[in-house]
Amino acid sequence: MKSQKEEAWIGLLGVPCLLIPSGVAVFIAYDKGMSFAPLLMFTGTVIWGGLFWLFPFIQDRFRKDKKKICFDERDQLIHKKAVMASYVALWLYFVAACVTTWRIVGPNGSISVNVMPLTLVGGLVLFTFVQGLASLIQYGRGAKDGAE
Amino acid sequence: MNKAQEGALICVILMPVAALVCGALGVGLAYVKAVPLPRLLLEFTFVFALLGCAWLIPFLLRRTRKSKISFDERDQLIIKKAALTAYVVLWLYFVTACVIAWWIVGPHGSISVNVMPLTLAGGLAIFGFVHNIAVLIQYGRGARGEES
Repeated sequence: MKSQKEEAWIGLLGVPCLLIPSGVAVFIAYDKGMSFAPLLMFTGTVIWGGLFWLFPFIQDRFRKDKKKICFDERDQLIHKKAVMASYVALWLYFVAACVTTWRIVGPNGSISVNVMPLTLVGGLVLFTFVQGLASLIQYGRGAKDGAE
Repeated sequence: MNKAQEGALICVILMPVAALVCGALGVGLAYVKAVPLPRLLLEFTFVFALLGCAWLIPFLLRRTRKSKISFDERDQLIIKKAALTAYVVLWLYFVTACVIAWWIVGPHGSISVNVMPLTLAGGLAIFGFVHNIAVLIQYGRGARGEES
């Protein structure tokens, strides 16, 4: 299996890796009160999770062995398309989350402030899932007779 | 200046203003109950989902207009890069908005539900602004003698 395809599977199955630290951060803040540690943990996880897709490009740029290409143009194109699809899904998710909350609570109501970070975590999970899925679909459409 | 640049120049002002006005108007109308909520929610969802994905329109139009090439590969690449940049900024904006609200109010606090659609409107304004600025910068880096 091509390494980028393996990474897509890892991304798909690694969704709990994003859920766990961010969920723990929200729980710690709720239980122990707001402090720097859970805030940093949460912010770091969501920023890292949301921008992790840039890592292969950075890795490719700074690779030591210039002759060995492990992230070629086709991989880059597939990766970018997957990220774009994920961001579109993420935007639609945020619209749906806002409208749903607004509908349920009503325009004069109020919500727990924890809804916002939890919405963000949900968005991150969706982003990672759609990105992995889109990558796998695109690799699957490619040369089925290609040697992996 | 080509058509894409002209469009970006107009949209860099128009889109953020439209997003903020639509968002504020929607929230205001819902708050004073001037419009039935289900209808308002439907319109809000439609407008925001469409505006957030408006950058895809040239790609869709290109598929229908096979005879005249007015949106070539370079234009596509520029629009895609600008969209990716704008989405990254949008993600960072949502993280910042959530973390600030969480920090200020505290994990046991509550916020008005209208904060969520207003955050969405702000996100759309930022997305529109960054996307169009990125388009203008990329076109500016290219051929300076380009005509429509």
